[in-house]
Amino acid sequence: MTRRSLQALFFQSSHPSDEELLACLDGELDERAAARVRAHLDTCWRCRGRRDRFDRTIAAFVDVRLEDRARRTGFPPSATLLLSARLDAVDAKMEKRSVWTRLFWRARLTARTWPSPARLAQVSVAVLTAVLIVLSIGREPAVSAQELLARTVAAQEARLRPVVQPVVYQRLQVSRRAAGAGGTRETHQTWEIWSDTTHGRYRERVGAFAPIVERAAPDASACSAPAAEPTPIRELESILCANGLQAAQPLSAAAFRDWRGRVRNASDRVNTQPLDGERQAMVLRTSLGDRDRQPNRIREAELVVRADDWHPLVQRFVVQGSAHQADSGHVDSGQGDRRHDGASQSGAMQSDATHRDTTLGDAAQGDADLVSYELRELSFEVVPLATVAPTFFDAPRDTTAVPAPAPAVEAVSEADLVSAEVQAWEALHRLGALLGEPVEVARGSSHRVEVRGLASSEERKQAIIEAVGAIPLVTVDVRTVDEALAAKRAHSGTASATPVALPPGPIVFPSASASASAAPADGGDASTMIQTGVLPIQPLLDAYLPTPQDRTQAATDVVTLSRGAMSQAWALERLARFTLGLDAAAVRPSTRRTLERVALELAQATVEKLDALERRVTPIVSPVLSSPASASTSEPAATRAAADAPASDALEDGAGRADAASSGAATEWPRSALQVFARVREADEKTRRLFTESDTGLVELGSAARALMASCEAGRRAAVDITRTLTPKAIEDPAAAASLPRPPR
Amino acid sequence: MAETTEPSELHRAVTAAFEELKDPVHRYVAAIVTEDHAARDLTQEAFVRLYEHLLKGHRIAHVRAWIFRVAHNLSIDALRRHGVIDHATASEDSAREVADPAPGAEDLLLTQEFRGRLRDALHRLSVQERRCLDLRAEGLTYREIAEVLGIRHTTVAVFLARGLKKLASTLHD
Repeated sequence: MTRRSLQALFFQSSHPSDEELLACLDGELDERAAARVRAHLDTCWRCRGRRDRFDRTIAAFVDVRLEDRARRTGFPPSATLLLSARLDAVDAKMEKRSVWTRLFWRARLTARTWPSPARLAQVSVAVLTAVLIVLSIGREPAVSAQELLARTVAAQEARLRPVVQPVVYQRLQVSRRAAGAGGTRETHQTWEIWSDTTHGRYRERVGAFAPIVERAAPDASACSAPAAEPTPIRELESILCANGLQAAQPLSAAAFRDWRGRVRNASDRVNTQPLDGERQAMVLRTSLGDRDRQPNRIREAELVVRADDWHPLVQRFVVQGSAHQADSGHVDSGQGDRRHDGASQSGAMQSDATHRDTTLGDAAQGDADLVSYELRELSFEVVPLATVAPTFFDAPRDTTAVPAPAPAVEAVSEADLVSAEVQAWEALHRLGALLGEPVEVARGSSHRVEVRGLASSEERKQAIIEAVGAIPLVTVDVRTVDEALAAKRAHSGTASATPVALPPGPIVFPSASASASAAPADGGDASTMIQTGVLPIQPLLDAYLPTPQDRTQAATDVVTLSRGAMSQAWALERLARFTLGLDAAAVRPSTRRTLERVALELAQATVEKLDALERRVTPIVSPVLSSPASASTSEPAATRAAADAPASDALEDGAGRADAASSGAATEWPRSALQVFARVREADEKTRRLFTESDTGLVELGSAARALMASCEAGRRAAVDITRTLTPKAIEDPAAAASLPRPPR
Repeated sequence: MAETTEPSELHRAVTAAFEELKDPVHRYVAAIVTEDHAARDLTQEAFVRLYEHLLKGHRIAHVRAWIFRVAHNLSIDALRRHGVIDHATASEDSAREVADPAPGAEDLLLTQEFRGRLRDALHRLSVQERRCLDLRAEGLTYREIAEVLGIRHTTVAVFLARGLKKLASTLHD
């Protein structure tokens, strides 16, 4: 439809029609037609009057809309950030799509239009060929060697970026394997390296089975002369130097990429292999085609990176050996020097040795002149230079002296990390920060626990930092909304905002005055959700309460209590999901007690909120609860309401109670907590349906009210089960548990 | 926006579009679903859909019209999900509760009466007339309004003129 057709419609009389006049005012007519209307208006008072009426009406309409706008709550300042987080989630979802899907969309992006049939046929043939090739060579991962290296290098750089003057700490296990006269020998040694990336300084500690030797810089002589003491590390240093790799960062994707760029006649292959649990590792193996027999020449190299975050874990080399190297295994002390014997290996090395036998080990076994080396990361940390003693990188120490204390970056156990996580959960719970604030506890990279998210104000941010900052192994990345927006603007395109688990309801920022001891914020200002028009519950409110103010207050109270219960249940659910994801063996008794204490308090608070909600709602809805349709029995309303719950609920709740009564119930609370959340969420939705939306005709009050009470009751029962299970007194004395007071019905 | 291909560029473009259009879209959606928080969710959802749409390589000629149309459809779907009959008018009572900023008591009464009559008249508009007026008040052209509501270009002019005439007859009688 064009402007010409508008004109054809409008120019049917000498006076412009209403449509034409308005289109002229709105600039929707072309210049010629508009000029004609304007010329008419110059001469016709009647049409000028019509125009003015339109203008006045438009002005009045706009005023009313402005008035409406004033009473609406706009978007919070964090809206763009939250949208950005959702877009990140879309990106993550897209990333998980298969390679074919991505190729398809990429082709769509390039082509922009659907291809011609001929082009389509060409593409089909190409795809079919590709499928056949892929099927013939087996399943290959969707990354090239170049992409793997690029991503790994980028990931390593990204880890350094947030730290001021980063010092990289690596603790590595170096293994050497060579075929000697007496069979295959394997030796191990640990190697700790601190690398000051800002000033190019370096420090290392070599330990495990060799005498402890400390140096303040890489041994320059390693490149020119054989190491005086041919331990695996010294040999490896010589090899790294000889092949142009950095000895200061031996396990480095950047060095690997540089080396890969220099060598010729090399072929790459990328595979995936299971890492632990569901995680995968990507393995890049680069083989050199030429048979250069020069000693110390790398013949084959392998880099293993974690697929989750592109972190390099292992690097292996097969090196052209010499007679000296092939026999050198025996110079190491008995602590690390042993024959290759699976039964004597540690668990970690066992699994790895199995893998090596099928990869680089083959090379070493098949050619007595080849030696294989492996660098396996035991610990990785990036710390600010400020946290390291000022003299740490200074002069070399006396090699016989006991080494100075290193930065506190020793490898930590899983139990330590779980303990730190639970302490962070508890600290946030005490602060009331689990009830809807976008703050989360997450496992960071390289053995740290991260508390990250957004704070409503600088004061709140400081409170969170103060509460969790002192917990060992915990780093805090909490920003104010303004800071996060500024950072987002500064890094848009290069770094995405940290996705934070968002609560199912509105995000709540407690007021700055809320102290740790004060009641936590519950669910935001419910009055903003209440429409003051006709609510579905209106007839019952009218019957129960005399004045409009009382009715509005009652509706506001109900929604506030419902949101309060929702906040508590949501925190409980998050804690439960965290608990279910834990390895039971890594949870110390004290950690478990802390977890259960927090869960108990959240469950108790949920019960209190649900009780208060039921107390407020019951008198309002009691007329329909006891209506003839449902009053055929003399059961109390709440019992009847619970009976209306779906059969599956009853089964699940029954199972929950049976579990709670059993002796092992203390471990079952997380599953009950998931039930609590599901029921409380239902109750909240039903509450909002009845108390906030304005349409009366389509909600059957009786069934809606009964469903609401049933959800409340089911949620409450599951929460009470948790409190019974976790109350220490109840655990010790089942009789006391039975007598736990139940709030009045 | 349709020419950008990299996710990071799209990301920036969509958040920029959100910054620019979130308030008008929210106002329009709020007029349909009446609840502020639901309107905010739906508005955000519309922009997520925009991102997904562009990420899949689709082209969008008029982003503003597209986003309004998706927000409109999401709002109607939300109403249907909750079993609510589509009503295009705002709550009269809630709107009347807002105090008028005019200073004098007499002026206040007159203005309130005037606006009360206008609100009454708004109730009597058809859904399409009201939507056309709302979208026009948000600055959309006739062509964009037609795209959002899935109607013809000329019909928009008819709805707008008819809606304004109904309001005018209430106000000036």
